[in-house]
Amino acid sequence: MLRNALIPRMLISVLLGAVMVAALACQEDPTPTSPPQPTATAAPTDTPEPTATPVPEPFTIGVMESVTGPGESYGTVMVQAKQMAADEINAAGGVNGRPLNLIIEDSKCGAADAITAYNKLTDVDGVKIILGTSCSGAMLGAAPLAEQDGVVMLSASATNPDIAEAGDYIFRTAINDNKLGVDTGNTMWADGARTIASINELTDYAEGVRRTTTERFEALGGTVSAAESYTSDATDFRSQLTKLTESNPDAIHVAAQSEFTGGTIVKQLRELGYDGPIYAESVVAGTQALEIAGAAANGLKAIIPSPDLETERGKQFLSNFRERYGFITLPWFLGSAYDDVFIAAECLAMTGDDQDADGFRDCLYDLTYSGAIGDDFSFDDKGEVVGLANVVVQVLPVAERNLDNQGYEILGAAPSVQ
Amino acid sequence: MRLRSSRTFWSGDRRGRLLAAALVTAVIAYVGWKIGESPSQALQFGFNGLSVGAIYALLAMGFTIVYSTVWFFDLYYGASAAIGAYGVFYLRSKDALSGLHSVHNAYVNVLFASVVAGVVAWILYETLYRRLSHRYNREVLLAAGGIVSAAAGCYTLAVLHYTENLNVVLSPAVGCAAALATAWLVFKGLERVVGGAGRRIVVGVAAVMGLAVGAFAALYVVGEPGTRLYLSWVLSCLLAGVVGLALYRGLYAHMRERARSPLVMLVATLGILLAISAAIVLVFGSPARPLPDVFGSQPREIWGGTIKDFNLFTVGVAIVAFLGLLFLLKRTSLGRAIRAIGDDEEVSKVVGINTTVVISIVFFIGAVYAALAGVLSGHDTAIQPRMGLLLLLKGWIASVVGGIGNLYGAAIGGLALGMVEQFGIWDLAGEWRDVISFVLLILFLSFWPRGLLPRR
Repeated sequence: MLRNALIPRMLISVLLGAVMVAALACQEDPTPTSPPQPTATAAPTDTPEPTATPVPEPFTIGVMESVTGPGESYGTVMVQAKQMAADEINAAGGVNGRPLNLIIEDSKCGAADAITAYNKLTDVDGVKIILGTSCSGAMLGAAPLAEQDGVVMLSASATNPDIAEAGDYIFRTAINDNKLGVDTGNTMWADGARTIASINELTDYAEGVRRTTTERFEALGGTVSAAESYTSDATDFRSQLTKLTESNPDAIHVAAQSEFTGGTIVKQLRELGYDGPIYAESVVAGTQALEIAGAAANGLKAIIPSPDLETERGKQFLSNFRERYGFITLPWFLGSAYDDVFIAAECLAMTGDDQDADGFRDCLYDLTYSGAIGDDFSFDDKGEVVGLANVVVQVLPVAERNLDNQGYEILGAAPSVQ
Repeated sequence: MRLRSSRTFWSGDRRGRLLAAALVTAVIAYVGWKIGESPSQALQFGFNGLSVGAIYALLAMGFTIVYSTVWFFDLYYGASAAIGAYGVFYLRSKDALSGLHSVHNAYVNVLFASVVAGVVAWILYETLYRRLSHRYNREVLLAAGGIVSAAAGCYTLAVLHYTENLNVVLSPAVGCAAALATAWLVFKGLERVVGGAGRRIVVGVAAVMGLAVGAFAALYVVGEPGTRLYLSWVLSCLLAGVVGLALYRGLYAHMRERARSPLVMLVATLGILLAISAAIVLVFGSPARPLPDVFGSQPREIWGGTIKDFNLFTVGVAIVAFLGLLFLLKRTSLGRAIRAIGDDEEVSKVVGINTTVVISIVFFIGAVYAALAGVLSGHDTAIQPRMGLLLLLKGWIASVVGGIGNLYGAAIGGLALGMVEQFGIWDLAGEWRDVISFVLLILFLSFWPRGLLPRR
């Protein structure tokens, strides 16, 4: 038929048009813009050019953060903070004259992916020292393997109480959630709340926050009128939140793993007409969470690690970081990630061998360090950080939020209640 | 996969009727008890159910019209919802989260531009070529068609490229659309009044009014940057629809000629759904993201319950979409053709219906409805790569509950599913919501496969 003969020609002319269009597009837009993404492996930028003098063998350590997954927003910037620390160390001549090389893997905020990343780092890259992970779930997945293999893990932000018992090789510069739970329970009780309702993401971190907070609050004599939870891929929380608000609590406690769900929950709570106080942890006070929540977050109180980064080094770090990468969220955890690299460099300088995990571990136990997140903190016999504290912050109205105050004002240390 | 069982919810064998009666009684008793327990929570659940139910209904309407025409599960339908929602994010990502996750991808632009060019070429071929080929040289016509479709592709590319000034770039298209629609309406209206006598005057009046309205619309859109968001809705729904049409004409139509089993089509469309979901993850990343805010998030209080303005808007859109589809199916010749093809495609072909064209239009409409539902759902909550599959399943459940092939059933089924999801978790934890909807699906598939209202 006539039609059959025509269609191919028609198609060819269309295809030609498309090719022309494609050629035009390539000319128009040679560099598609995309958000800053950390590269999978990050070589030190200041490695000397190969010249006559032999290049010193670099110290190689692993980094595991949630570059994707629920912890994406802070995992990405924590990788950047670590890379920045490594670059600063290398620019200043490296560790004992040898450059520091970070191998970055994505632990995706979950146990299974953390184990994959761990195996890759230890089997393929042969590292014995890993800085990570961002999420408690990932840490609890990989820590037993690290303990068994004698690989040191130093986390900047995994806070679940169970990590304290994970073993001899497991350290963190993040504050145990037992402390957070006590502080949050105390704050709510001191503010006059006697019944609370809680909602948490179904992850080890958020579940741990809810558990410790609820335990403390009930120990003080309070009651929990309703408790709901949600999976990380949920986007509609209205039915759970309706149940919370209908239980008429004095306050609602939110524990989220991802800034997206945290911010959305706060927003949907206010959309449902809830006007009582909301209490939360660090993630819900993140830049992205506050942006999603908008005015709904006004007056929200969060109990977070001391965020002002009062030390001179902390201020310097934050301003450098902002200059280099533009976006900041959860600044304390950024500082913690940044410090971890310097701590690792200090211990590597002492042991002089990136395969010496035992020496590195002993070095950490003996270390007292002053960095971006605080002065004179150290590790106790469980690898828990000693010498750091939480504070209570309150989110400011939208108009008053800016890059300098991160959207909240600091009310001070959490009250102590007997 | 045609459901030939005669059992609907209301009529059927004794066992089915008994079970239906028991279920209805139990549900009424449970809901009544719960309303008595806490009327305010019941009201709020009702509003929540209405908000999501409207979206489910929209999905079910589109799903049901596609399924009851071609009788296979087009899983692209879910991907279309995701394309619609992510399309809005693509076009307006500068407005969400301070543009932190702003996306611009030349390959995506070229892909959509090529699809649009291809579909325009096909439309020109189907509508004009046969009429003109007797009068003009074939080569000339082909060249002209090629140029016009390439121009359409280039225009699409420009629109996708300059998302910053979407209102300016789209203003010519908006002007043309408004002009054509006005001219056509005026022409039809006047023709009915004046009759055949003053045809020239009628054409003249229609053209002038069309031009005036078109120019006004174009200028208005240029001057209102606030229209960008709404334009992005229209654009992204249309693009999703065009992809649906292209998939049918370019792929399914050929496969259906060869494939003897609807299962082959199911697997093929599953592949498309998965491929599109994966492509979305590649371009946009895997986490959920919010879409830009519309109408503010101040709650509106009604009888003690609260509902967002946007949810009321969603309900309105669902009602308009329902009436529009009803009008199309019952009052137009296209609607009659669609129903005829659903009854028997071979016979429809024999009596002179161009089944390929009609089914392509059905796929276009279905994909647009899905994309609209995706956009509304994305604005209501958020977008995430798996949303296509989730919405597809919800739309499918809603249409099975309502009765596949029945438009009223789709609307009722969507609303019912929204309510069941809400009230079902009154005494359960919130994560059980999806489990409840699937239990509902299994119940209906086992006992009342033709749903609440049978196909007519």
